[in-house]
Amino acid sequence: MQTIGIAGLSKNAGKTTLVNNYLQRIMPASAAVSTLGIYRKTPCVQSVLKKPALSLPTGCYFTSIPDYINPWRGLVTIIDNPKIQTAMGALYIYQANAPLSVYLAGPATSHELNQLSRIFELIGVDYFILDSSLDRKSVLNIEHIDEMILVVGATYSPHLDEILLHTEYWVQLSRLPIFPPPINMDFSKPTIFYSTDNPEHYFTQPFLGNELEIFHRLIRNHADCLFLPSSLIESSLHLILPLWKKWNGTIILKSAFNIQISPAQFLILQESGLRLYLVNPILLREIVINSYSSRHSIDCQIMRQKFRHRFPDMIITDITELPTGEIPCYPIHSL
Amino acid sequence: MLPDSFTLKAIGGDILLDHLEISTSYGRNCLSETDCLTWTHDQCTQHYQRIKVMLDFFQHQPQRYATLKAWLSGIENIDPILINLKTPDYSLMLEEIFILKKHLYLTRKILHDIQDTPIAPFFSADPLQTVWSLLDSENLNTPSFGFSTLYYPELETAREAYREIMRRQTLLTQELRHQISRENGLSVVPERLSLSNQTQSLLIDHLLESGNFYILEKNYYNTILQIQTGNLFLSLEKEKAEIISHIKSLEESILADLTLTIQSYHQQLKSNTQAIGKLDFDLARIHYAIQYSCIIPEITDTHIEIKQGRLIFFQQQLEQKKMRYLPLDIDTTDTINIITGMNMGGKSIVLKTIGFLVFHLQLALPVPALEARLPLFKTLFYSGSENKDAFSGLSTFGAEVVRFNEAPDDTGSRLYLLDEFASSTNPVEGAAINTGILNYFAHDTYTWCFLCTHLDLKQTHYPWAFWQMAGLSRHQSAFWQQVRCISLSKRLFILHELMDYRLLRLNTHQPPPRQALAVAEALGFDPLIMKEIKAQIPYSEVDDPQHIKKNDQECQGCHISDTENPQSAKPER
Repeated sequence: MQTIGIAGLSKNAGKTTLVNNYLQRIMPASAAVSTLGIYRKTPCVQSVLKKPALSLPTGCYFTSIPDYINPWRGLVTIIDNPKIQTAMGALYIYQANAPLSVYLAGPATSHELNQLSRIFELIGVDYFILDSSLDRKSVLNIEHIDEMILVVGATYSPHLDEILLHTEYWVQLSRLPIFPPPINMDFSKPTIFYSTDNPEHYFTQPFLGNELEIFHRLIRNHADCLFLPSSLIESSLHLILPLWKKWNGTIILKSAFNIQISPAQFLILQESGLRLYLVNPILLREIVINSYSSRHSIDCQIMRQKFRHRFPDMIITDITELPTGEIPCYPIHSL
Repeated sequence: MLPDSFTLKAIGGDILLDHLEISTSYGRNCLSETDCLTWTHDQCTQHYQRIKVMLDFFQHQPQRYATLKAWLSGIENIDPILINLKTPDYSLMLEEIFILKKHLYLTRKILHDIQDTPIAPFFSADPLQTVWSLLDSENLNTPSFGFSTLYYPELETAREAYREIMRRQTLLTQELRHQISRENGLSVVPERLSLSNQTQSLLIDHLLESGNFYILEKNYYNTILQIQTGNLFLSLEKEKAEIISHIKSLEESILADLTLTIQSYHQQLKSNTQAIGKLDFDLARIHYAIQYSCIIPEITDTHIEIKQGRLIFFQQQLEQKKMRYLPLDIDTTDTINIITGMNMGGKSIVLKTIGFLVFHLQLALPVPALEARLPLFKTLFYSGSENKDAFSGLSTFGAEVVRFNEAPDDTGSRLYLLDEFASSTNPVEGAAINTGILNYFAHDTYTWCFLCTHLDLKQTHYPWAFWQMAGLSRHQSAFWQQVRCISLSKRLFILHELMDYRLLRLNTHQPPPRQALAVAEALGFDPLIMKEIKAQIPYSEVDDPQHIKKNDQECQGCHISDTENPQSAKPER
């Protein structure tokens, strides 16, 4: 099963529109769609327009709650209930018996999402499309995301440069290397771990607030790498950067979400020669741009041009150019 | 009824209940159902006979156990649905029918898996073939459920009409796009167009004039145009709404029919859930027995005999700290038992172990021991120093008295575990209170009592059994003074290693050992104060550590197996 995470740089970036488009192009019976949390039936903040519902082809698997499915009861089959509770009731896995236009609901935690992913794998789904976000409980923490598609749009900012800078940050994060051996492996060189949940680790003091002490200990013990399950934040960076060159080791983080620093700080970090590794990498290969926003719009031609120039190794797709229906004009790489 | 929460906590019963791997809510309900717990000798025997058969089977078939547990883990609570079914004119919802079908699917799976096995007679669920055939109309043999077109062939016609409208709408949109593309010279026509007011105003006007687009939104920079779908598209939408409404009415009829049929099997569904609960509870018992090397106890009326009985969660705590644990050996037919011994000698643990093992019989759980012969007690009561936390505003003694008054006064066999009762009041009255209680209990042949005390209780005309914890076998004041600088945890560890935790039976009444000073010294009491204390007590009034050895030699009757070589009971440090 290929899991495709679709994440937006901001709300109303155009994720649902993109998922709608994808679903037209793949064998419906082999696809499953889910999301994170519940879509509330209120007008979105930035627009008075109703958020687009998901257009599901016949045979497609999806997750939702009975309240949302009520108008379509006769057109769906319940496949399973994964014992996941949402704020509005139990979550069910449905299969569409006819083309439907529905609102999705999904689990709220990454653990539940992994559980859902395993059920879809058992059902025999080939593509699991996840309409999600870049937050903590997001695609970044899911075990097996095979590919992530970032949707960036004018809803993030009216200034194109700002959108470009933030996208650049995520592209840089996606280029961070994966930490090669599994964390539990025996290291040949001394390694200092910080963890609150594993007493076996050598070092159990919190990193935040103890940065200097930890770094002195790293240097004293000739330690090779530091595993941080917590976040790397800006104030920590100010403290550790002066000591960085003395230590010259490697920091391992769980996921890109744990890097809680600004794009500018990240640039400084990279220039300092710091080696960062991720356990859960971001497999970002495609950026979908959306020049449309109800409040402000950016010229789509300029946006396309700038993105393609800035990220030559990424696949850049313009959502406004994506046709709906059955006209396959712009092939999307992942499919 | 389970013991009160205080007793349960004191004897480790709450941890035991947490450790039972019960998968379903029906299994958990068994803890409050009298027919699953044991209140009579016969019930208990029947439960244990069943568990023995199941234990023998699953020990050799672990895979079968894992499969059954997997099925059970998927079983949901259908009680709310069963309640709804009883409501007149209630029509089940799609999700409710799915849950019922899944429940039945898993029940049938369990039935299928245990048929032709020795445990088949213990699971009396009904496969409900009629209901299953109705719910699985397409013979898919899966728990999934949808409105099959086999219920109403008309449903298929309605669905096909719906799909046809969707196809026509798609084609219409495509045609419209091609048309717009041809008319306006656009290469691609998306559903929504975002055009710049400054540079593309002419195109905006042109597209609006063509009548194919309407303004969805306009702001200072851009105009958003949405494709105009036309009247035909709208009429299709109307037709679609009518078909959906028709599908809905068909679906309501199917739900009503299904509800009517399922309602007549309400009782069978209910008894199935009870059978599932019992099986789940039995599997939890078996898992516990295998995990903690338990045995099936023999139920007696007038005898307590435990060999290598373990308070398993305390044992685990000690083992985590790499400290040794000595299982309990006891053999007595006396209903009144008095246990004395030095502080930190293990008296309370003996009481808790007895309570813990006896509690297993109430749950019909195999017992963590090498051999166990135990009576079945209807009431289990523990009173200990932790009482005070439960009764704020009362002194330690007050809390003990209040708690003792609250002890269930059931008829039938009772076990009282009294840990240093009335020890906080003056020794003369304390001893009188304890003696009075023991004499009162001695009247009743069904009441057993184990009392730990430091008080010197004089035997009355009632038969009492006296026990003593072996305690410190050697004690060196000089040693503890030399090692004053070591940490408390280290001191505790050394003290634990030096302590002999065996429970020894005394032939005759002996005053409780006086070794509190030895313990105080071991725990680092100030030497100057110790000197002052020793000046107060003549040496003859403080027990010589060798005194215990003498007692040991004098003991007869119930002894642990390694009395001859006490050190052999201690594992290597």
